Parts: sequence; structure tokens; C-alpha cells
Amino acid sequence: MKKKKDIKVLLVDDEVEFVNTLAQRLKMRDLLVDTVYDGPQALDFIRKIEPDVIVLDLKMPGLHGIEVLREIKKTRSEIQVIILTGHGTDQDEEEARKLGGFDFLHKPADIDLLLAKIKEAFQEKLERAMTAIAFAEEGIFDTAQKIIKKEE
Amino acid sequence: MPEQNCSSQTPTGDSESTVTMSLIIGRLISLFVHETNNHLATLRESSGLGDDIISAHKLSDKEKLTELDKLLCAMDDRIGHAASLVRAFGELGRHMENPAVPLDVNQAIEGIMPFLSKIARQKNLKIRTSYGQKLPAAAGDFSCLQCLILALFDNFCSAREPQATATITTEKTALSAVIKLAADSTAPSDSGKQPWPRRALEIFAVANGFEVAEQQQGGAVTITIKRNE
Repeated sequence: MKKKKDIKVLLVDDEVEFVNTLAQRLKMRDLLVDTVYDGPQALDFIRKIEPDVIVLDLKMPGLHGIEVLREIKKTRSEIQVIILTGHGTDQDEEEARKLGGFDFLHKPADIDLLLAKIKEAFQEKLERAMTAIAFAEEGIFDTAQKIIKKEE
Repeated sequence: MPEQNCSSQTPTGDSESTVTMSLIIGRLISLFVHETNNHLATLRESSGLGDDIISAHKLSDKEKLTELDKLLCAMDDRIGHAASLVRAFGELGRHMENPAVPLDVNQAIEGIMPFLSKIARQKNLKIRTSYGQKLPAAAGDFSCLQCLILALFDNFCSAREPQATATITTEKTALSAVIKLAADSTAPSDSGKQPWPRRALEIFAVANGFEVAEQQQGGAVTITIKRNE
């Protein structure tokens, strides 16, 4: 089991001062934190390094956060995404959850709440990975794949 | 031109214009709230970081004291930005309450600059201004002109390539003052993406005594304000 220091978090927000300050605070709470300032940078980042949890803003220049979330879930579905926005609507929240977003928080969010959500998201990622391993070990995964292929 | 108050236009001739005005005010409120909230969120994190530093270190640590000092300066700057935004929003509201004031075109643009800058930033554009001097006294409603500039600029920026520089210029002509929106990028890439229907803005402009024209090449937009006679 990973220690808190090993939880890798990527913060994505175009508000540079906000995101850098938040990163500093999360680092002081023993998380490994990287920051990027727009959607394309985030997608580029996850091609090279896999964070456990992404904290993602919605309204950013270039690519909207919902589109970034869609792309992340398409290519790296195991990464957990928490939306942290100052401008999110109910429709945004619904869409984000539909796409597989872990949670939806409003800015300014309490640091303890955000930290708790990051840990929860990481825990869920871990549990999913463990489940996948367990299935694979029992051979159920392979059997399931055969059945799916047969049905196709 | 007779004095015109946006909030008291008759529904017969100006209902479409009134609807447009309401939509633009909605957009302004949304921009204002978004930007103010960003400042508040940053302030909250900054004050939280200050608290974290104080909790984790002894205050005799010079390095940490310098860090705290920098943080307090950054917070002070943020408060300044947020306050100027609140002032701009307040000014806009005051002009809506009292439209019968002399129309200073440069002041109208400068008054909404925090919102124009936000729109430009959202579209990944840079913004530049070039104000003409000694513009003729103009006729028209200050806040209606601000709303028109805002919506036209929103459309203008939506149709530009990212990284372009949008320039807002004011100049005097023989009969009027002119505001020009231009960019260093090529012609509009996709004018279908523009958030404001062109026709609605034209109706709004005419109802308030302004003329809007768009150049075929390059898509520069001009707003002409008639001389006050």
C-alpha cells in the first residue's frame, strides 16, 4: 500500500497563482504534486507520467475541462479526476459524473475537504486495481474476455 | 439624439434590443462572478499557506519570514485586483441608473477593461488599446455602449486564432468618434462560433444610436458614435 507521500496528484488550472499556492499546500501535506496550466498540457503530461489523481478546473482557455476529462477517461480511465471549479453549473456536474469524474467541488474549497477527496479517489483507484488483479489471477478475466469475443 | 434609458425602452420597437441588453448584463454578471471568485479562491489558498507556514515553522526562521512577506504582498495585490473589478462593476451599474451623462468613449472602454481582458484571456488572446485624444463629445447611453462593445468584442475574440493580439482603437472622424476592433490574426476562422447573433447586436446598436460595421477583409469591426449636437 502506498504511503501518502506516494500519491501523485496533477493540478490543472489556468489561474497560475492559485494553482501554485494550492500545490505548495498539498506538498506540505505530503502529496507529490505537479501543476499544468491548461488542458493540452494536462493531456501531454499524462502521456509521459501517470498521476493517481487529477484535480481539474473547467473553464480554461483552449480546451474546456469537460473535454479534458472525456479525453482522460478515453485514454487513461484508471486516473481519478476531481473537478475543482469556480464556475461549474449543475449540467457540468452531471456531465462530469457521467464521464466518470470522481467528485465535483466548488472553489474556494476547504483544503481538508480537498485532501480527503484526493485520498478517497486514490483509495478507489487502488481498490479497482486490486480487483482487476484478483480477477486476472483467478482466470475470470480471461474467461470473460473469451465470452465477450464470442458474443461479438 | 433623444436621451434613451435602456431599462425604459418601449416593448414595441425595442423589445429585441431590451432582450439583448438583458443577455449582455447576464454575461457581465457571469464574468464578474467568475473573476471575483478566482480572486477569492487564490486569497483563501494564500492565507491558508500563510497559516501552514506559521504552524510548521518558528517565526524566527528568516527564510520563512521572507516567504510570508511575499505571500502577504501577493495577497495585497489580489485584493487590489478584486477591488478594481468590484469598482468596474459598480460603475457599470451606476451608469445604468443614470444614462444621461456625457459619453466619453475612452472612459467607456476603460470602465469595462477588466471584463474585456477576461474575455480575451478565456479565448487565449492578448489585448491592446490605443486611445485617440480629444474625441468629439458623443451622444448615447454610456452603459448601452459598454454592453455593445462587450458583446462585439466577445464575438470578435471568438472568431480569432489563439495567441492573436486584439487591438481596441478609438479615433475621431469629421462627424463622430469611432471605436475599432482589429486583430493581427487572419480573417475569422469560424464565425459560426460567435456567441452573439449578429442581427440582435445590429438591432441593439441602432436602437441606441450607434452604427456597427464589419470589414470584409480581416473582419475588423467599427462602432461609430454620432457627435452630440
